[in-house]
Formats: sequence, structure tokens, C-alpha cells
Amino acid sequence: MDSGEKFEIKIDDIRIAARKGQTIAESLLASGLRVFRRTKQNAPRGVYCGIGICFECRMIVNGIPNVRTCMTPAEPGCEISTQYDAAMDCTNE
Amino acid sequence: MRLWIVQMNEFDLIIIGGGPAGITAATEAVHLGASVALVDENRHVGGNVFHHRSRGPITGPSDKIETRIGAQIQKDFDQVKDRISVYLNTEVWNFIDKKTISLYAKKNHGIEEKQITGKKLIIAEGAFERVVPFPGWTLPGVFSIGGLNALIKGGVVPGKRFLVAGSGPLQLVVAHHLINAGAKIEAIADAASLTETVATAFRSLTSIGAQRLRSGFDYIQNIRKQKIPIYRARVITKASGINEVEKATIVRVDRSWRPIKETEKVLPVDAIAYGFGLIPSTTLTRLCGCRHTYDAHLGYWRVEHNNQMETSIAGVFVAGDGRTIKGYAAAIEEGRVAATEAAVQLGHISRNEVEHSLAPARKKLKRFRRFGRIIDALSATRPGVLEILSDDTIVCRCEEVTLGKIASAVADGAIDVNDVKRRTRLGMGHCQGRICGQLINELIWKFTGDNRARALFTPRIPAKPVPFEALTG
Amino acid sequence: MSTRTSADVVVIGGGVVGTAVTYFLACNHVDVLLVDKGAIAGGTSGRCEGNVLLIDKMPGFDCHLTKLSQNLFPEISEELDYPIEWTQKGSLLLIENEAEMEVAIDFCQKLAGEGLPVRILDRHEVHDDAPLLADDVIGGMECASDGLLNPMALAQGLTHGAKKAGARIQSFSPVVDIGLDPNGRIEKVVTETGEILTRQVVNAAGIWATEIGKQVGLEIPITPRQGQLLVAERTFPVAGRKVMEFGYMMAKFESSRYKRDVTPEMEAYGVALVFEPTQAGNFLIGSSRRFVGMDTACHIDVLRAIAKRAIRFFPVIKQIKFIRSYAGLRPYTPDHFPIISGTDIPGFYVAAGHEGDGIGLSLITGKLIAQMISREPLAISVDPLKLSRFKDKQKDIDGFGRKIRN
Repeated sequence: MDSGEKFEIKIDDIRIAARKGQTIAESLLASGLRVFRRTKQNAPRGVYCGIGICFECRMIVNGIPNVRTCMTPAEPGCEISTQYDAAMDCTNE
Repeated sequence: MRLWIVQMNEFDLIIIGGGPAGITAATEAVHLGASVALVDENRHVGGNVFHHRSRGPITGPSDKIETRIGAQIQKDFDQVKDRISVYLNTEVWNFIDKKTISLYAKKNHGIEEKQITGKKLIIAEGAFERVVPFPGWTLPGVFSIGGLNALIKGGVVPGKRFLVAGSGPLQLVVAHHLINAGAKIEAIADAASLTETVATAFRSLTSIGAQRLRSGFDYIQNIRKQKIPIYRARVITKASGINEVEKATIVRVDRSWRPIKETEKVLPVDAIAYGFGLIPSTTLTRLCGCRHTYDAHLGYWRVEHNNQMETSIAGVFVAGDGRTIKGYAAAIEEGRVAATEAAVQLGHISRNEVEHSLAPARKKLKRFRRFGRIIDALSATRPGVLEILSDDTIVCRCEEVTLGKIASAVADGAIDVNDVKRRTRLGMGHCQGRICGQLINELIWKFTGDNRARALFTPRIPAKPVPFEALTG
Repeated sequence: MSTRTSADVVVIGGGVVGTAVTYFLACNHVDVLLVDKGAIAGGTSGRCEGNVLLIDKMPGFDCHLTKLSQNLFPEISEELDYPIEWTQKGSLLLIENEAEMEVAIDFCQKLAGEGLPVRILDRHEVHDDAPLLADDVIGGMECASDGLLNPMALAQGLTHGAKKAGARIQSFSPVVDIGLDPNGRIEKVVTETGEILTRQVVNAAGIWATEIGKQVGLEIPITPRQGQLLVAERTFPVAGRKVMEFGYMMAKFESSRYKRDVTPEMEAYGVALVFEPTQAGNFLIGSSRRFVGMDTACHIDVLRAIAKRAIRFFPVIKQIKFIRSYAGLRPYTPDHFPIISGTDIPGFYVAAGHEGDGIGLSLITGKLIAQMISREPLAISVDPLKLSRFKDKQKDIDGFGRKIRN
């Protein structure tokens, strides 16, 4: 059973509490943060299916985009950013 | 549990999916003398039912049943897991030749890309939610029922005032967990009318145990105690809010779930759990090349198989909710049956020995399947529920494709999902049509009036997105 | 439900070529009916990339034909009033070593002589252009007029435009027979859903053109040549326009002894880097060449080789996820040139065999066929593209009398 030991993670330069064993999505939701991402058309999105199928919860984690936060454990020092899909576009230069 | 205990790459049996069906199959197969590999994309075995460690208070018999059963199959598995090659946090992304599968896992210090070969294969990939959209369903704060249930069991309450809606038994389960977690449920809205609900309960009596029925009553008692209003024959017609859900509108529906004018009610909620039962995940069975059929009664595509749980591909078996929806108890029995059948084919045990030992499992399964069919028929969406969609309602979440675009494609001549996909990009996102696939079929039938179940999206490598380095190592 | 109808021209095949032919005919006020055995763009046009390239064409006819086609895209894009996602950001060929650079400079000069907006980029310029390129790439060649589009949208757009101009479209109507009258003239096209009386047929059936040709006793040497592609997720920008490797082109030149520094698999599968950004934001990674009949399944070993080659040039791709793979079948002819031609059968035309240039040449093909049928002067002489050229005894000579190099 996970010990629930607490640590901090960063979301868009804000520090929030997380517990060992939680996924990043759980940590964010527990802090009341629910908008994880903005679509190409700038619509707000967050967790939907919770089991790693829909990819709606994807965010930039430690520099890597499109990470499913509902499947990724929160770890001390983790840096997460809201993903703006309009910037995830290879035609941008 | 140690990850990556790799002694070899060739096994008698590979089991994909470490949920109740998968781990039971693994345990059984080891006892029957087979060399086994078990693969799961999560960090723990147990599947969506068991792997979230419940940190909330446990009340109500079914929770206790669920926890007891979960603990038992985990214990049985733990006893033999040293004899199993367990690959956790690992994606299966390719079938090389039906029995050789490609694995990818991201570890802290690099990646592991691997191929393993099995003489026999059991695919137990489980299920996911049947998706029924409504205007505003993409707002943060709208969850699938399974998704919310998982969060609650993990000790996270992602909202303050909840609306639980849809149809099927999971509604009661998630409401029960919400209450136990101290969350406020503003209302429960069930698409089924009271008559239907009662009728289903009676029909289910013969299929499920008294304990389970009692737990159903306990859930209802719990809900009554909180004085939570239950609206029957209602579906959600809209959710609105600026960045997150702020309110939801429900509407009365007829027997076809068609909205009845002027019966809207607005509820001040900031979180919605909406679900219409589960449908089997067929991602891996389709990529593997197994034959599938559309079950009009259950309202979903499922993999074809024989009495031995074997698919149209010799040596490839299925078990659990990935086959048809019946719940975890049935999944456990099916895992047992599939592993035993595989062992017979491997020559570890004879057909005679097996018929006797499998008899109780087969008997239980008959009952579970009956129950499953009743529940599925209840949850299967009725055409009226799609009438709440407006032209600008998003259907494909990944690519933001609206109903209007789909209607145009069909008006232009598209008759199957692949043609709609080519014209609109629907199904071209990260989820590759998993979420919207079932729904788009239903929409095409609605628009064309042609009920033939033509196709799901063509399965292609990779089964799930993996980095390019999975190809190169 | 069996129907009987008639048309002045029946076009068989609703891919980019067939729909372009239909569009140009309809705009010429010809009574045209397009049939396809399935959906529009359900064949090769739904399984390819979307490029309109001059950069890899040989000086001379190859270049002239393609240039005429490329020039049509901007105006057609406007005219169609349908989003075909046309962008014209140019294309880039990557040069790995001095041997390639020498040939590239010469090639570039020749194309410049044809009036193409081409130039050589030195080491500094190419890395400036594509900062995520592998360090050891020494230069590049650019053609500024090259463009990209969505091929399925192009076929749909042309279909819409054709319908607006009076054409009729029949999907899901496989052709089962082409009836000839006692004088050997076309009389009708028979499909699974009915008959169409007509005197003129355009065979634009791509990889099925050979089969259609058999209906009238014609031998059309088109062989499917498989190409596989990987689709990457939308992520941080990697490169903003079409990028390919020059090395693969070396085989087209005199220096056919040149061998790229590639693995045996890359060689065997004809793997060469193709990077193509799409309007949707994803990028496509290719490419490969294999003769596997009508198989559109991806083979994992080919995907591996394609990925390896892509990572060689853009190491950052390692971490990027691919979300899908697919394969298309190029309609290949023995001399790599399409067939845009009348035939010995009066009224029977062939517009097929474009191999990997179907998208780019679709518009000029449509225009030329329309000109042929309407008896207008041709935009360019298509003698090199006659079907009859394949009757030549010397199979390794192309339409210009040159030796063919694969």
C-alpha cells in the first residue's frame, strides 16, 4: 500500500502538494486544478476517461508533451505545464 | 513487485492484460505447468477494478465483496508471481505474427523495447465506457463514470457538487463511493424509467447472488439517507461553464430516450459523471486479426470465439470484459477457463481432466453471462439520446469534429466510419477512434437509416501510441 | 437496384486523377459520369502523402509536365471553394556528403536553367533552415515553389466542383465489364449497379487500371508498388516544410554506382527519408518501396527501417510518438512515367500509372485528357506518355529513348 508520503510538484510555476502513489492527474485534481490542456481551438480539456484511453488529460511533463497524466505517477520535482495544442503544430515556425 | 523479471523471451502462454481475467489466467496456467508472461500497461496488476488502491472508507457489502475477491486473486497471484515474467508499465503495440508481440516500456533510465513469443496467447484487454455525448461534454469536470469511480477510489474528489447520470449499475456504485468520500451529490438522473429499473432488478434476481442484490439495496438506502433526488427517465442535455462545468441541464425522455419538450431542469453542479455501461475494448483483438461481429442486442462489436474461449485465430484466446461485459467475478472465471483451455492445447493437461474441473466455472459463467446480457441491453443506447446533439456538439474529441461535419460527410455519400474519417479527420487523433468509434457507427445508422454494421476503424500498428524509438531500440 | 443511364464520357476511378479528369471535363461542358468501385479517394489517394514536387524531377519533359501541373494548384485551390489545405512553402533535399553535393550542384543548375526557383544551401544555411537537423548534414537543395495539400480533400474538392459543373458521380459501383460493339467501339460500361451507355471511357483506375484494361483487351503494365508511412503525434515543431534526402535521388543519375550509407534493410525496402508536415499539425514520415502485390498491410521491418532513417536526420524524432502507420500502393510503370494516352480502342483513354507523383500530376492529367477529348490543343505534347511505348521490344528504354534506371 502506498505510503502517502507528501512532496511537491510544479504546475505552470505553481507548487502544489502531491502524495506518493498518486498520478499527476490525481495530484492536480486534488488541488482543485481541472483544466489540463487547451485544444487547437483553445477549448479547455481535462480528465475524462481516467484509464489512459482518451488522451484528454495529456500535458507537458518534464518537457515532454502529450503525456497521459492519469497514467503517470507524480514524482518529487516533477514539472508540468498546461499543454496548448495550438503550439503543438509542425506547421508553426 | 519487481519489474522486468526477464528470464527468457519465449513462453508457453502470454497473457495480455493484468486485470481479474488476466491474473487469474496467469495463476491458473502456472499451476498447470505452463511458462507464463503477463503484460499490463499499468503500474500494478488488478485492472481498472482493483488496481486503484482504495483509500476511502469501505462500507456496504459489495465493496467488501469486491475488496475480498480482489485480495484473494491478488494473493493467489502473489504466491506464484516469481514463476511468471511480469511486464508492468508496458504497452503491447504490435503483433508480429499472432504469437510474437512487441512490447514497449518507458523506464526511468531509458526505454525497454522487446519482443516476446508465446505458443498460446490470451487477450484480456478489458472494457471502457460507452460514450454518449451532449453539448458541453468536453468541459473539464465531466467524467466518465468509470473514470470518476477510479479517482474516488484513489482518494480524490474532483468537484464539489456532483451529478451522476446515464444508465446501468455503475451509477449506483459511483454514487455510493461519492457519498462515502464525503462528496455532495446534487442529483442522480437515470435514463431508465422506474418501471424498467424494477423490471431489470427482478430479471436479474435469478442471475446474481442474493448478496449482490442486497448490496444494490444498500446503495439505494445510502442514497436515500442523503436525501439525494433521483430523477428517472432523464438524460443530460447540456453542460455549461466558462472553463469548467458550472451547471447541467437534464430533460425527461420517452422510452426511446427521445427528449420531451419543455421538461428541462437546470442543476447547479460542477462535476458530472455520465455513463451508459461498458463496451469491450477490441483494440488488440482486432490488430491481432481476430474476427469480430456486431451484437445488435448488446449494442457493441465483440470478438468471435468458441466454447473454449478461442478466437478465430488458433491458439489465441479471450477472457473477461474484453470479450463481453459481465463484471469482474465473471472475468475471473473466464480467465480460469481460458488458461485451462490453453493448457489443454499445450498438452499440460488432458481434455477429460479438465471437463470435470471446469464444470463449476462454466456453471457460474452461465449465470454471469445472463446477468451481463440483461445489463447490457439496459445500457445500450437508444436512438433518441442522439437527438440532444446539435450541429456544433463535438463527437470526436481528439480532432474536435462536430456532429455537423459528420452529417455533411454522410450527406455527401460517406457510408462507413472509414469514409467519414477520410473526410473529417474523425478518429485520427491520439485515441485513434477508441472513444468515438462505437458512437460514430450509431450516428451513421441514424443519418442513413441503414442499420448494417459495416466496420470499425481499420486496426494498424501501433496498438497505442509509442515513441519512434520503440521501432529502433 | 439496376439502373440504365448514359453519358458522353465515363471516367473509371475516383482518386485524385479520376476526379481531376472529371472536373476538367465537366468544366468543359462535357456530359461526364464518374464511377468508382468504392468511395471517392478510397484507393491510393486515401493512403499517401500530399506533395506537389518539382525538386526531384529530371530536366526536360519530366520537369515541364510537372511545372505545368504545379502552376495549376494555386488557382484550382481558389476555384474549388473547398479546403484542400494547399500550402506552398517549398521543399528541401538534405545532402549528406561531398559526393552528393557535387551532383546536387550540377542538378540544381540544370533545373535552374529550366526556370525553377531552386538553390543550393550550404551547411550554415541548411541548419538555419532546419535547426533540429542532425549536425553532420552538410547542405541542402531547395525548390521554393513546391507545395503540400491534403489528397483526400483534393479528391473531394474536385468531386464537388465537378458536380457543381454538372458531372454525375456514382460511388460503390464496381465496373464488371466494358461492352464493345461489333466494330470494336465502346458501347457501354457495365457496373454492379447498372449500365451506362457511352462511347468514351477514361481509365483512371490507378492500381486497378490493368484490370480495367483487360475488359477491352488492352495490356496496361501497371504494378502496385507499396509505400509505408508513419504518422506522428502533434508535438513541438520539428520542421516546417517537406524534407527529403538527396541520396535517394542519386540512383536517377549517371553515377549509379553511388551507394548511400544505409543498412541492408533500408536498401532492400527502398527506404529514403521523407518528412511531411500536414495542415492538421501532425507530420508524416516515410518512405519505402516494395513490390508486394495488392498488400496494404505494414510490415514491421520496413517501419523499423523508415524510423531509423528518419532518426538519422532528425534525432529528436526518437522521443516523439507515432500514432498510426499505413501503406499505399503506387501505380508503377516500367519507365516511371504515367500513361496519359488514347489507345487503339477508339474512345478509350488511359490516365493512370503515376507512381509516386499522382497528386502532383493530377491536375495536368485532368486538363490534358479533357483537351484530348474536346479536341483542343494540348498544353504539352504527351508522346512520351503513350500507352503504345510499352510495346517497344527494348524494355529498358523510356519514352525518350533513354536507358531506364531504377
